[in-house]
Order: sequence, then C-alpha cells, then structure tokens
Amino acid sequence: MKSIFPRLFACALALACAAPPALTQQQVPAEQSSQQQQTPEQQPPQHVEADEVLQVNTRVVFLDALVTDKKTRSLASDLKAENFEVLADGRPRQLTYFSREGDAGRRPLALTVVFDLRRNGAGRYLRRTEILEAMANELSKLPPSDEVAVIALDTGSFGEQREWLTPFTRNRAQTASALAVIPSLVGEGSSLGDARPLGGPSPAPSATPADTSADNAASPSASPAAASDADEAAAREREKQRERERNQEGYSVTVGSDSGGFSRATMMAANEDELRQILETFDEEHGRPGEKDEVDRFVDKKGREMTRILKPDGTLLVQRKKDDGSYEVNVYNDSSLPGAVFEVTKRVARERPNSQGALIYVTDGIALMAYPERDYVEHKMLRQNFIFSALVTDMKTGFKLAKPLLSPLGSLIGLNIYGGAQHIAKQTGGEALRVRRPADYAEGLSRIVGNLNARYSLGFTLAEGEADDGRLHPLTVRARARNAKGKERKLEVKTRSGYFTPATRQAKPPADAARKAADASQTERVKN
Amino acid sequence: MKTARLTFVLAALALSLSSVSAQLPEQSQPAKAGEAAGASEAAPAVVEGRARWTLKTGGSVYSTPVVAGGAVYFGSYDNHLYAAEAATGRELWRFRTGGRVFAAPAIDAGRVYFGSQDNRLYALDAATGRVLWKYKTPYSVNSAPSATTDSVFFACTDGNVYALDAATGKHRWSRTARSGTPTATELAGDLVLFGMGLGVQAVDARTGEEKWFYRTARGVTAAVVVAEGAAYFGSLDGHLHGVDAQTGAGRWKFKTEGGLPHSPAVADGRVYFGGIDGTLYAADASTGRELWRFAAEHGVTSAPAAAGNLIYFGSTRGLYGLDAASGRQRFWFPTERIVTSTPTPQGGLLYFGGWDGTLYAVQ
Repeated sequence: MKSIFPRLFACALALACAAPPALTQQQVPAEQSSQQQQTPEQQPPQHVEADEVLQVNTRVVFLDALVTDKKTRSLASDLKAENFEVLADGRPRQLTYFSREGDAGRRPLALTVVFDLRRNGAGRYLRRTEILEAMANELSKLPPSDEVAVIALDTGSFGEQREWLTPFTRNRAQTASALAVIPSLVGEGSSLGDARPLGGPSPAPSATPADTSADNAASPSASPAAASDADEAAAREREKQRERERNQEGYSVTVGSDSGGFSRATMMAANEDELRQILETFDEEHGRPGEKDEVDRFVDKKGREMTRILKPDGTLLVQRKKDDGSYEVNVYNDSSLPGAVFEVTKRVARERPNSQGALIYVTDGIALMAYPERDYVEHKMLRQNFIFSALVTDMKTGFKLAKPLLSPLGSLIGLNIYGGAQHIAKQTGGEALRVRRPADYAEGLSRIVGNLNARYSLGFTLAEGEADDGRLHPLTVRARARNAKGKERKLEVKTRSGYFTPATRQAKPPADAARKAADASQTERVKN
Repeated sequence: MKTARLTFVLAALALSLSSVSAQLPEQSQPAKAGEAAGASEAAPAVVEGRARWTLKTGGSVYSTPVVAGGAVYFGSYDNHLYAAEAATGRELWRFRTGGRVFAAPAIDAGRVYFGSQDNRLYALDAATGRVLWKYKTPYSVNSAPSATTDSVFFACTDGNVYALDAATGKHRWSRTARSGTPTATELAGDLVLFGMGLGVQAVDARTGEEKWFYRTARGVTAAVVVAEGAAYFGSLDGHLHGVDAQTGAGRWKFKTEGGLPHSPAVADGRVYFGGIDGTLYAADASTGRELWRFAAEHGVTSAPAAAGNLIYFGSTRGLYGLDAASGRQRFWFPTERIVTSTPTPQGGLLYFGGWDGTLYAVQ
C-alpha cells in the first residue's frame, strides 16, 4: 500500500500536466462558449446506479457588474452575493455563480483593442507616438493571464478594411510592436471616403494627377495617361451593368468625398428567385473564398421578422419579407466595426472560451454608423457577453457646433452620426470616455482596464423551459449594502442591458459522432 | 521508497515540461542572448553599445537616417529635416516644413529629397538646406523617395506613385496603386517597385506603365528590397516573399508567426527579416531556407540592417545586434522609448532615431 499513494499522486500530477492550462485554471470546460456558458450546476452528490450516467445540462446566464459608491465615486469591491439582486424580464433570479476581483476563479480577459485609423477622425491622433506608447505602457500593466489582440480599421495602406496586427497574446512586447506600426498605417481616406456603390468593386484608379501647380517650381506640363488594365476596365463595366440593373429594381444612395460619406442601397425582389439572384451578386463582390456569411434572424422594434447577413468583408444586408411576398434588402457599409466585431466574437468563442471578452474601440466622436450596423454590434456584444468600451477622440470645434443639426438629420436617414460607441458601451455595461491629450488615452485606458478587472461576475441558471426566442431579455441588477455605521450605501450598478437565451442543445440531437463528442463535453457526468 | 521518489521526480518533470510547452506557441518567453536554432557553443558576452553623440529634436524620430558626404540627414515629428555632421553630431542646418517629417530622405547628386505631412515633396541643397523646389500633393508624403540623377520617385498617401524631374520637380508621370497607399519606392534597373494593399507592383521608370504585379494574401506595408536580381518583401499575411525583380515570378516564400510590416535586409546571400511576432529570422536568399531565428524579448519594431558580421534592429526598449552567421546576440543599446528607425551603419557608427526624439550615433 505504501507505494500506491505516490503513484496516485504522480498520476494526478501527470493528468494535471496533460490537461490544457485553461482547464486547470478555469471552472468551465474549454469547449463551452463564453457567452451564456453551459456550466455544470453545483449540485449535491446524487445516488445513481453503478453504471448509470446522469447528464445534467444547465444553462447559466453570466453578467458582469461594476458597482460604484455614488457618494464617494469609488468602486465598491467588498460586496457579497447576497448584496445583489438580479431581475430578468422583471422577475428576480437566484444567483448560482458569483466571483469578484482577486478570486482564484477569475476569468482572464481576452481584450481586443480596435483602432479606427481614418485620418480625418481618430487617425490624426493615432499618428502621435506618445499616445501609442502611453497605451502600450498601460496594456503592459494587465495581469499576466490577460491577453490582448490589436486590430486596425480603415488603414490607408491596405485593400482590407481591417487588419489583425496581433492575435490574442500575453506577450506585451508583441502588443507594443503592433502599436508601433500604427502611425505608418493611418490612412488618408476611409471606408466612408471610398463611398463606393454597394455591391460593386472598389473605385477604379484615377488617372488624374494631383493638382500640383500651385506650389511647384515647375508645373507639370502634361497629365499622365491613364494606365488602366483590361481587367480593371472590365470590372468597371460589370459594375455599371449591375448598377443599371439594380436601379431598375431598387435604389442606391452614395454620398462621399475624400474625407467622408456614406453609401446605402435598397433592393427589391419580387420573389425568392430574384432574392437569390441579388444575394449571389453580393457573394461575388463581398464574399471571400472559404469564408461564410453570418446569418441571424431577429425581430425588429416594429415586430417584423428580419434576416441579417454579414458578408465576410463587413457589408451588412438586412432582408425583410413583405406582406405581399416580395422582399426588401437594405445594404449598409458605413462602418468597418461590424466586420471586426464578427471576427473578434467568433475568435474568442472558438479560441478563448473561458475568457471574459472585452473590446475597446479607439475612435472619434463623428464615426458614422448606420443604425442597423450599430444594432448588429450591440446584438453581438450582448449575445456573447462582451463588454464594449470606447476611447472617443474629442470632435473638432466645427463638428461640435454642427452636432445639433447633424444628429437629427442623420436620424432621418438611419445614420448614427454621433454617439454610436457611447450607445453600445451603455448597452453592454462598458464605458465610453472622451480623450484629447496624449495623457487622456493612458488615463482612459487605465480606467477602462481597471474597471474591467474590478467587476463582479454574476450568473443565474435558466429553467429548462426558457428557450432561445431570439429576443433580448432585459436585465436589472441592484446592489444593496450598509456601511460601517449601518446606514444604507447608495450604490450604482453598471451592467449589460439584457441577454439572449442560450440555445437548448437537447433540442437538436447530435447528427454525428463529432457532434456527440462536442455535446458530451458540455455536460457533466455524474457517476457513482 | 525508491519507486516513490522516482515517480515523484518524473511527475515533477512532466509538470515543468507541460508548463513550458504551453507557453511556447505564444513565444512569450524572454529571449536569451544567442537563442539561435542549432547553435550550441558557449555564447560570448553581449556588448552594450555606447553613444558617441546624440542630437535631441522636438519630436519623435520615427524614420531612418541617411548618411552621405560626411553628414547625416533625418526627419523628425517636430516638422524639421535635420542635417548634422556624421562624426560629431554638430547640427549643420535644419529645414522647417508644415508637417511631420515621417519618412527617410533620399540623397543624390548633392540634393536631399524628402516628403512631409504638409503634403509636399521637397528638394533641398544637401550642403546648405536651401530649397531647390517643392512639389505639392493632395495628401501627405509618408514614405521615403528614391532618386536617380535624372528622376525622383515617391509614393503619396493619395494612392499614387509619382515620377518627377530631379532637377526641376516637374511632373513626369503618376501611377495609381492597385489598392490602398503605396509603400516607399525601390529601383530595380528600369523598374520602380512598390508594395500596396494587394501585393507588389512594378512599373516602368520612364512611363509608369505597369510591368508586373505580384499578389499577396494581405497588404505589403514596407518597401521592397532589391538585391542580386531578386526582390524581397514582407506582407501582413506573415510571409516573406522572394521574387524575380524583372519579371515578378515568385521564387520562394517563408512563413512567419505574425505580420511582417518592416522591410527585410539582404547581405552576403542571406535575407534578414522580423515582424510583430517578435522574432528576427535569417534565411538563405536564394532558396528561402531558414538559417536561424532569434526571439527578441523586447520585440522587433524596425527593419534590420546588416553591418559587417552583425545584424541590427530596433525594439520597444533599444537596439539589438546579432551575429549574422549564428543569430546569437552580440550587442545591445538600451533606449528609453521605442525605436522604429532602421539603424544606418556608416564609418564604424550606427545612426538611428528613437521615439524619444533623439538621433543616436552609437559605437
């Protein structure tokens, strides 16, 4: 018997070694999605027959709450589970999960910093080395287990609207190296500046030389000949043809200049065949080999059933079947954020299922975003339990003055001209901070990161009958506690505005062995 | 008891191996001096560089200095182009523009050409800093020009590559890049090469007519380097590409773990390159076969430069110097802030700028 204990100990150690680090550190299985994870409910031991396997499949809705003392404006970090009251759809829910800063089971952050590099917006500030270095320094202070990814949007240097400069990494030098590249990537135009007709290719290269005469010692005497390729000409011709066809069926609006604009199209299809043709056109121009569209269905504020399709290049299509059986497809490509959010949420769900997803958007106050694009981002963030925060560069004085006029005008055409990031941050329980001076970026980032870490993580278990109805269920979280003198503290709670019910996996039995294996890992096996 | 001890030791060993392997894919381990693949001899000490002189400017020095005729020329975020005596650092002259001087200048036939974020390309007298001509563009000029006796070529952030008469600044031709902003230009015989959002384009230096196009999976953001008839460039898809400079025919490509936003360096049949994965690689220039790699603790934030037996590159905390043959670290010069400027070796000194606004001459 003497030799058994060391062997057992060795086996246990070896098993611990063989297990992925995430599993050894986390409470939930690695395959689970980070949003509303299906965690084994902590239940008392149950008696079952020797070979009987009891599958317990529970669905837990997680939410993070930041609590501040209204009087002192300081964070309230000493609360316990019993201090919280969670209401979902107005009904009180019993907490089945609770953790706070410093707990051993704290989920590490999978933080994505998304830089909006339009030169006429935030990009003009992000050329400043002191801002980027200050941000790199702040990110280097994150706990070692937290990971950071960096994405650049609307860079002038690429054909793409977004670039992952680093994947999720704990290597802070990598993050700093990525930030060091940013000044060289700040673009002159933007995806808005392109203002290209939707459904078509990028604009053909201009053969017109720059207006250079004013300053030059010797003015250019002749314009260069247009050196367009046959394939570029053909692409233009194809686009013209599509545009003609499209205008017969619907309408498109393109407003743009070198410094900004927006592009919108609406297409009508009399029946499903026509709809399919329209969608195929978009596959050609906005699809990418090997990448699929993201399709989801939802009910809009007017109670209409809608289908939302995000193309791999970030173009958003919102499709609605009308009462007469025809279809209307609205196309949006004002912001590069939805495409980035799609990739980030997908990557975190797949690669970092046990991390708390968070996104910090570094942008400016006049980033245009169509309402459906804003709603898409909000929807993804809420469904995946991401916390969206933003560092918003102060607007130029001219825009500040024009804001009271521009905002209502934008609303008329479904365009969020100002405050899109602030809106999403509020809905997801994050923060949107205004920045201007280089020091503001470091302070803002420090505050956002500090608050991400200071959040309470709460969870409640859904009943079996609570199916995914595609609807946002409103959440309210209250915190009550007394101070040392026994007086009620005035506490303010920041959390996400609602949740989407996670899918019930039992509803769709596994179709193959792989699926069975995947589902098996999402259940707890209780065996006596 | 022996069995028990043995199992305990084995288990402890398994634990330590497991923790190491879990971290390797991230390459987050601090780099050790001389972490070259296959090198096993004892590493000599790393020599810490010493500044011969420094010149402080009013803004970050993001770009690469150029040394010619006993002077060093470089731009600064304080909107100036500077000329200083290469041996002493004594300022010879400075020229003020209306915007940041982001990229390196080019020197040819006694003229200094450089772009500014005030939307102009300037030609100055290299000896005096007197302006010879200036050329207005719609947007910033953020990349280094290339010059011959007869012409000067440069990329503008309006998406065009321009060719001007070197003597007068008169416009000769311009060519729109296939996608995005073109990188700095590089000359290869009668061709002008530049990277852009879809890959690399080569155009005729006399007419601007496209001669070849090489497509990459993602954007090329740094200048192409031409050596021995081949063109080398990195892409944000993480590949370093070696192609025929005259035809654009691909010869080989090398996959790294992260994007390659910096130009490579070519010397003695080897190509050196590094990127966001924090590793500097050396490969055979003719085959692309890996020779060694070095994981830099402080990352790789500039293009490398070869000087003698050493390869230098910037990082978030200073300048590294590696043995060109083995990849072992031989040299280190610490800085307070990030170095994105490619070091320029000349006359036993290394010239480079830092985000702290200083130009360093280091020995």
